[in-house]
Amino acid sequence: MNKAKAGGPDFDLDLAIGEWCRGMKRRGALEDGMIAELEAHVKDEVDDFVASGMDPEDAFRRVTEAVESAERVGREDFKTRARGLIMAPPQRTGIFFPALLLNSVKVTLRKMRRQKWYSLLSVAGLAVGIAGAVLIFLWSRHELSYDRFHENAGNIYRVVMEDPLNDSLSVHPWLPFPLGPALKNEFPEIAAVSRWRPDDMVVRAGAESHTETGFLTVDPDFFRIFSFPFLRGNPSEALADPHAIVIRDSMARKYFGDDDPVGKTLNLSGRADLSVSGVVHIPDESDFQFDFFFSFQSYPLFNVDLAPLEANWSGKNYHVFLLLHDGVSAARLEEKIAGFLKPRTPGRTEVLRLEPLSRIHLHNPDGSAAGMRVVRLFSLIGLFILLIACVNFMNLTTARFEGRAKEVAMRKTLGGTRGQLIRQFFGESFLHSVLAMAAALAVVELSLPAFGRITGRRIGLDLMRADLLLGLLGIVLVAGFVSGLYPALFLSSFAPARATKAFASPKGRGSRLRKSLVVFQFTLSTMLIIGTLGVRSQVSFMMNKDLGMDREPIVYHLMQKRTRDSVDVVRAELLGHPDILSVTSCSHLPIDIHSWIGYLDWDGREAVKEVRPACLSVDPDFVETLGLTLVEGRDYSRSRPADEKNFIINETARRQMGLENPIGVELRFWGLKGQVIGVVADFTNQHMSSATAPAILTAGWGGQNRNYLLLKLRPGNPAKALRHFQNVWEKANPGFPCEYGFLDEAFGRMYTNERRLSGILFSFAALAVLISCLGLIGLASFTAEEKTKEIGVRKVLGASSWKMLSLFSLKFAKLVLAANAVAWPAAYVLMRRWLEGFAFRTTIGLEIFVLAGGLALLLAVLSVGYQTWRAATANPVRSLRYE
Amino acid sequence: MISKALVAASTKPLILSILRDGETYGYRIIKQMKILSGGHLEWSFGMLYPVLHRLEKDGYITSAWKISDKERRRKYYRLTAAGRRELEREKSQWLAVSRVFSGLWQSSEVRP
Repeated sequence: MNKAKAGGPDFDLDLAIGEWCRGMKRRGALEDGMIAELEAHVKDEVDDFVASGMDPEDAFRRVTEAVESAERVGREDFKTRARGLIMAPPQRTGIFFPALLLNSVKVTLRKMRRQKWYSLLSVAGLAVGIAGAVLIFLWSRHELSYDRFHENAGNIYRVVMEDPLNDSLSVHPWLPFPLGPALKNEFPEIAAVSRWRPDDMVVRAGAESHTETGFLTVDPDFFRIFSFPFLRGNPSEALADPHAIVIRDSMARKYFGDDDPVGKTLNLSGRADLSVSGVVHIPDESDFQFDFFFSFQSYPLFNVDLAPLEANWSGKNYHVFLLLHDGVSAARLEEKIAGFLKPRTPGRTEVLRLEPLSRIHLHNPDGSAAGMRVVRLFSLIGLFILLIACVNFMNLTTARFEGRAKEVAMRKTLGGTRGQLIRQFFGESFLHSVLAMAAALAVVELSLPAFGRITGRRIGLDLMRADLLLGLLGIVLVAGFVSGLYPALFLSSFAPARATKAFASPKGRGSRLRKSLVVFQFTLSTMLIIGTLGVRSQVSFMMNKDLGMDREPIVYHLMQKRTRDSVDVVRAELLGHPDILSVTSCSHLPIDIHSWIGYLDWDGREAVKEVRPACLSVDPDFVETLGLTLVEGRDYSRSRPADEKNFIINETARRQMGLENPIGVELRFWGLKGQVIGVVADFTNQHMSSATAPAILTAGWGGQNRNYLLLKLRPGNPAKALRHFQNVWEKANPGFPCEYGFLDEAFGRMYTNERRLSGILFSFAALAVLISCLGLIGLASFTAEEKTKEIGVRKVLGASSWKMLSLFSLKFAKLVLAANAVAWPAAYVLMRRWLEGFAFRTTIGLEIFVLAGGLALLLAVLSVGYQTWRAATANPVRSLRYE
Repeated sequence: MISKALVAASTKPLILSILRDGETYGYRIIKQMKILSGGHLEWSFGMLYPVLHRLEKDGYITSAWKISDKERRRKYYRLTAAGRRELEREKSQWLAVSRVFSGLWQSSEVRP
């Protein structure tokens, strides 16, 4: 034995023999016991050679070469054992045969050519499904990418407030003015801080003048915190000067064309002139879609005194963004700042929290997933659509199995193994899914503009991006795998003898599976239709809800300073026109008033009872112009100068105050002091996802902040009245644009998100239905083919074509009805959950379900109809001759 | 070289004969046969073992794994009673054929 080990320096005989035996085993030509015997044999023979003086390595080589290959041994073994029997040799075939692969591809392509109709249906269905999935993938990726591009995105936080109000706790980002700088002074962890407040103004630059709604007042560090790319100017100094304003690139083009805007002057609402210090680009993937940025330091230029603001710790009208130093633990800082407000606002218990920038786009300040839920829902829908498309492919493949069974049997008889068949079927499905992906990308490219309109997002298909390619590859793999799963695993499992007969009977296993898959498809499709109808019904409910005020035909106009200063003159002139019924001015559009919120106080208020109404500064004609209903007390009157101090409250405010008779009660709000003179019925004053807010109207503040002019026109043709308005306006504001809008449209714009949701749901419901119907068409033509003979026999025996048609349509209709039975309750639960997000919601009526079910049924019958009709009306002589 | 047909026909009686002298294993059988035949009969691995297994299946021999002096596992084959009877039957047949050949070739060689 010692000798045996003394061979070449690297040669270990035992190891070599062991390896050789394992090689034999892998080839599968010999049984295990035989290999053990062979091992002993080889060792003995090698020993003999070594004993006669041969080198162990040479001896091993000589012995094993004499044994030759496993196949050779196996063949001899087989010949000796199976004398006289006709059988294939037992060894497994090789793993990879290039010729066979080529053959598989050839067979697949030939099959596709020969069965153009089926192949078109499978690939088209899959392509549409993949296109849908890709669109949703692109959209989700876009939604998830918001504000991630900032250099310090991971260190940026928004301060939010846990704000207890009586029994409830609201979490919101509206904070007192002095908070931001105070935090920065107190905590060295904070590198930079910026407050934030949106505004509307009238902009004039040279000849151009427009009403602009994209104003943001910030602190000079804003562009240090957020790294928006500057096309002109220096981000760190752009807002250092109180006279500076940074504008967006699109606004630079709008006001200055191709000229360099830097150094040019913008006049804002006739109140202040600011000079452009920078041009910034705001990417689509940002929540900061604003056009003009200037600093709070500019307030004095607008005659706004900063001192009272800086002392006001109870107002809640500003956002605060923090940039933390690298390595600072946000959780620890959050603990430190939590109680920061308490010593400054005695008697209140607000708690401050930090919200990471990356969460703002898809989450509510309280941490609940708002947009994230939609992203998840849509991703699920995308997956469903992909699944429906895969199911189609599976269905069509198994439907054609009768033809394939012979192929399977033939391949198996000729020595094909199950593994090869599995590989072949998966190969086919992957080939289909690659083809479908190519078609899908074309579809996506073509439908992106329309999809962009529906979603309100600019989404591009940039195939050079690694993550996108990875996603697409993922979709191809999922589609190829899922759609090939059933054929590969099921079809390959048949014994050759059975394979040719397995599906002779239509009641076979495949037929039941096909039916359940159809039910599954239509369940999802019907759910999507119900969802679409449900969302639409809620949108139309909100659009048509009685708002408690007139919204039509009311025209609104954002005034600039000059108009506002002369509002009484303008008003008188406007009222001179017979079609202008009433004119008023106010601080906000009454449909969305939640931006001025403060604490209300009155004598006898219980300490625990807090009422925080939204405040609307109005002139005495407001209630009448909007047609609010006075339920108690009286309206403002121009003949009573004392009314300037008095309040009108809405019913919600009265209920929250808990006053039976509030008339005459003296209220204190934001330094105003006055009596309640009237109570108006609730009017819809914010987005209908929230309940009506408590509201107070004041005629105070001398009209300083009443920015909107509202005109109530005589119903009918508003053109004349509007022309008059224009004339009056141009006289009062030479050189400024006369821009106005209809309150009704502004109201509609508040529900853009819901309408988008409805649009997206509609497109995907349509996709799902389209794919499901493609699948049905395929199945129907298969059934029609399969039943040619049955139809022939039935017709010869006297059945009519109509009878045939209804017989076969009924078969498919039953499946769709079964799908409805599943879809209705599921959709109902989902719909109810979605509607719970609205304080004002429609009831989900049965008609939505019936309509959706009917639609699905109709489309199903139509898609089945043509194939079936062709089969049913065929000449029975011909169909009986078939075969 | 001895023809394939003859090898096939003679394998069984030869193996049984070798085993009559006591139990032994495959490699030794091949070696012994090579020596005895003066190199005329060289059995291959692939041929011998299937025959051994077949004989075992037919009940003429039995086998057992044993550890040899060199710590090596070997499968030893041994004749059974049925195997002995089968050997006798084969023996009588081969002897009959042999006698015919002897007679034929002796007389023909003597003949001028």
